[in-house]
Amino acid sequence: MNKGLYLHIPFCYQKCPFCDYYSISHAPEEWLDKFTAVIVSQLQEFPRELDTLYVGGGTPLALGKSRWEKILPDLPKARERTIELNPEDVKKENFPLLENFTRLSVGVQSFSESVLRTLQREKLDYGKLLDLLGKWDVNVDSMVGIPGQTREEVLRDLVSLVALGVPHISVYPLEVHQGTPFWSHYSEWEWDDADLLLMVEKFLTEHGYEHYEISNYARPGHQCLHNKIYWHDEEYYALGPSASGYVNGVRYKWVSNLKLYVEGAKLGEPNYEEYMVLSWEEQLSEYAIMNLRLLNEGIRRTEVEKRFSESAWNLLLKQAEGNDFLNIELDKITVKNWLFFNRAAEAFV
Amino acid sequence: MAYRSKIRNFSIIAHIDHGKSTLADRFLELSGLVRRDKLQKQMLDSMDLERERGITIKSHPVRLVIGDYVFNLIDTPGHVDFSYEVSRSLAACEGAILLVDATQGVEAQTVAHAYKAMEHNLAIVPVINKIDLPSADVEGTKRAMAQLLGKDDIDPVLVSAKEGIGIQELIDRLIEDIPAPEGDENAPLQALVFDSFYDTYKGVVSVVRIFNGQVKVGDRIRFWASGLESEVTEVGVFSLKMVPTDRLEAGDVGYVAANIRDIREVPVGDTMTSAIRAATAPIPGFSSMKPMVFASIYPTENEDFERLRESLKKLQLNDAALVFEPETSEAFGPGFRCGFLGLLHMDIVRERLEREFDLDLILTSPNVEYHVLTRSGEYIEVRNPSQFPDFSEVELVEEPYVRGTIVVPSEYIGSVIQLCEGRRGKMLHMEYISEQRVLLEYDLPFAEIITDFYDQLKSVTRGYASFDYEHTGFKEADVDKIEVFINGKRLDALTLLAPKSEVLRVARQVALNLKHTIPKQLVEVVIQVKAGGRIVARETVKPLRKDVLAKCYGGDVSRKKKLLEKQKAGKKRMRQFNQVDIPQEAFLSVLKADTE
Repeated sequence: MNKGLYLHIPFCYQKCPFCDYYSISHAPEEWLDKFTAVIVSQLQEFPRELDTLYVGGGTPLALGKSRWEKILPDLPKARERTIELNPEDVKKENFPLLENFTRLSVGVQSFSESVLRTLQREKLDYGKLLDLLGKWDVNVDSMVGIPGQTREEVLRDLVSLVALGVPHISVYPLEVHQGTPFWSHYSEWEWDDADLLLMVEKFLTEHGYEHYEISNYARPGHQCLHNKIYWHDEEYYALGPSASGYVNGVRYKWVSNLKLYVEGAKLGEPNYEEYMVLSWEEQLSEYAIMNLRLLNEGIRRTEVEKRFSESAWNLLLKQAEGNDFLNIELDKITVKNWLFFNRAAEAFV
Repeated sequence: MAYRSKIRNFSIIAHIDHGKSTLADRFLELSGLVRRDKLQKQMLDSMDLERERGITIKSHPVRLVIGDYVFNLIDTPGHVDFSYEVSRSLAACEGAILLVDATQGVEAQTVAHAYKAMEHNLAIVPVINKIDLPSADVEGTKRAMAQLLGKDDIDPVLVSAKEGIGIQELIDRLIEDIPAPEGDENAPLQALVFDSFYDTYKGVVSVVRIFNGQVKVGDRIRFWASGLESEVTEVGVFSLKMVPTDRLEAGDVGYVAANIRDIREVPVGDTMTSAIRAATAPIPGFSSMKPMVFASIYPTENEDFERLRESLKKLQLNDAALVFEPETSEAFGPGFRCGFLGLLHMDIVRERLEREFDLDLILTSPNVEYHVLTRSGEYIEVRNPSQFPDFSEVELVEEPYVRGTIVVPSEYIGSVIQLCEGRRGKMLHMEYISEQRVLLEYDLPFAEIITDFYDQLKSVTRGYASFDYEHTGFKEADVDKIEVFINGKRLDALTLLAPKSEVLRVARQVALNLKHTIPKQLVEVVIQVKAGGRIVARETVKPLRKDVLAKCYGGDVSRKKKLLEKQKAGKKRMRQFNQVDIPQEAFLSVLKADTE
C-alpha cells in the first residue's frame, strides 16, 4: 500500500466568493511565523520518506518564500510531490522554490475573462502555463456551470488545455455552499450542468485523456498518485488546520482553527475536530464508496480479498444487488453512469 | 349514606396551558399521594405522547382523600377530537371547576366545555388561576366568566396553582358548592362507563361511576348497549395506581375488570348493570363513538402490510375509536382505510405506528364522510373520495357540518370573519366577552376544518385565536371530484372532493403543491389534475440529470458519507407509483392553501 502526506496551508491572498475551504486571507505575519514553526516541529515526527506528498490550501505560496525555505528541508522525500498554485504564483522567481516539487496543480478555472470576473480570479497566460509544462507534471483545475458561462467558453477552455498539452485536467461543476458570498446570489439558481459535463467528457476522452475519476482526466501515465491514495482508501497523514488523515483504521481531522491548532501543537496536545476509529464494516463501506469513484478500476475483487477477506467481497456483492446504477462483473464493481454516482454509492452506505 | 355524603365527584374545565395539570398536582400533594419533590411534571398524563404535546388524551380519574372527604377528580381529554369522552366524563360528575388563566382570559375551549357542564346541570366552581403574575387581569376575567355562565356576578376562588395559593379555600368551596352524589346502594347496579383501557393482565378495564347499586368480585355484569355479559374479576379505585377494593357502591368512581378481551365490547358511555338483577333503564346520553375523519394508510413497502394490520390491531386494543378496514388502491396495492375522531387522533395513530411499531408509512390526505343518494334511490356513505359514484348518477350529496367557537382579540375580527366566510362558514353568533375579546360562532363544513383551517386561523391572528367545535349533522353539499394523474396514470389515493364553486382553484393548487413536493426523478414527472371530467391543471417536474458528489478527496470522506446516508434515509417515506417516488409530504400538501 502507498502512503502519503497532505499538508494544508490555511492562507490565501484573497478569499474567493465560492470557496468553503478553511483559509485565512491577510493573516498577520506573526501567525504565519507561528504556523511555520509548528509545522517544522511536527514534521520532525514524520517518516523521512513516503510515496506521495501533497501541499494544498488555501494558496500554499501565500505563506511566503522565506517561510517555505524553513519548511522545505524537513518535508519527507516522495516519488510524487505536488503543490497547488494560483495563477499569480506562476512566475519565474518562484521556480527555484517549485523545483522542490514534481507536480504542480494550478487553479486556472477558466481562460474566459468574463467567467473569471464572476469568480473574482486572475487569468493565467498560456505562455506561463507553457513554461511550467516543460519542467513539471501539471494539473489544471477548471470549472463549469458558472453563471453566465457559455458552452462555447467551456469548449474553448478545453481546446486550449488540450492544445497546450496539459497532461491532467480536473473539471468541477460549480457548487454553491451555504456561508459563501455566492450563496446569497446563486442559491436559487437552477443548475443544469449535466450536458456540459457530458460534453467535457466526450471532448477530453476523444483527445486521449482517460476519464479515470469522476472529476479527473489524465493522459496515460499522468494520473495523480496522491489522490489515488484517497480513492484506493489507502493511508495518509495530515498536517495543518482542517486537514484530514487516515492511518491504522483511524480517520482524523485537525481542528479548523489556526489559533487552536498552533496552541495545541505547542502544548503537545493536538486538537482534533474529528477522531474516529472505524469498525471493519465502516472501513469496508468507505473503501467501496471511494474505489467506486475510479470509473474504470472500480471496486476490484482481488484488492478487496487481499485487504479485507473473501467474505467482504461477497458482502459487497450482496449490498450491490438490485442497485440499477452499478455494473457488477465477475471481478469488479463499477458505476454505470457516473452522473448518478450517489445513487450507486448508496448501496454501500 | 354517611359515607356518600363525604364524596365529591368533579372535573376541571380549562383551556390548554391555563394550569389544569398544575392544579391537579397540588391536589395530589394535599392528599399525600405524592410529595412535591417527587412530582413528575404533569403526573396524570401517562402516555409519552401526552407529555410531549402537553395535552391529555385519555381521561384519568384519581381518588384523593383530603381530611375526611373523598374527592374523585375526573380529568377530561383536552382536545376537541375527544369531546364525546369529555361529555361522558362530565356525566360522571356532580360538579366542575371552571379554571381560567387570569393572564389569558376565557378561551374557546373553556366556552365549549362550560356549555357542556351546564347541559349536564353540574355545579360550577369558578376559579381564576395565575393571580400572582403581574399581567393578571382578575376583574376582567371575572366579568368574562360571569357572562359565560349567564350570571351578573360570581364569586371566584382566586388561586395560583404554581405557588399553592388559595388551594385550601378551593377545597372548602368544592365541599360546599358541589353536591354529594345521590343514589341507592341497594338498588340494581347502574354504572356509567366513562372510559376503558386494555391491561395485559386484567383485560379490558372499565372506568366507571356507580350511580346506583354496588359491584364486587364474582358479580355477573352486563353492558347495556353491547349486551356483553361477564363475571367481575377485580374492582378498585385509582390512587395513582389501581388499588383493588372489596366493592364499589353508589357514588363511587373506580374500575371494574371482568376478563373482557375486546375493548369495542365496552364502549365509552355505555351503562354497566347486573346480569342477574338489571336496572330498569340505562343512563341516558349514550351514543357510539363515530369516526369523523378518514384517511388511507399504506406501508411504503408492500411486504409490511401484514405487520401494519397487526400493529393497527394492537393499537385498537386501547383505542376503541380507531376503525380500519382493508382496501386496495390501484396505485399502491393493499392498505387500510382508517377512521379517526379528528386530526389529532389521526396524527397520534400515525405517530404511534411509526414510533412503537417502527413502520414506514404513507398516509393520504384526510377527508370527511359524504352521504350520497343516487338517482336509483340507493343511499351510500362515502368515506373514500375515489369511490365516489359517477356524478351523473348522484341525486343528492350531504357533508358534515360543525358549530365552531372562536375566541379572538377584537382587532382580529375582520381577518377571522374573512377566513370563515372563505371556508363557506355562516356566522351564527357574535358577542363581546370582554372589552378586547370576541366570541364568534360559525356554522362550518367540517371538510374545511380538516384542511389547514386551524393553521390559517393561528396565522391570521398571530396565534391569539382559540378554536373549538362540535359536530352538528349533515347538510346538502355541492361537490366535485378532483383526480390526479401522474405520467398519465390515475393515482387513486390522491382523489379529493371539493366544493364545485372552488374546484378549479383547488385543482390548480393541488397541481402546484404536488410540483413543489415531488422531488426530481430520473424521468420527467407530468402532473395532471382532472376536475369536472376534464384536465384543468398541468405541471411538470423536470427530470433529475445528475446526482453526483463532484469533489471527494481525503478530507471529505466522512462528511460525504454522511451526505449519502442522509440522502438514502430521505428515500424512506416515499412510495413508488408509475416509476415515480411520491413522498409523504405530497399527500399532506394537496389540501394546503399554498406550500410556498
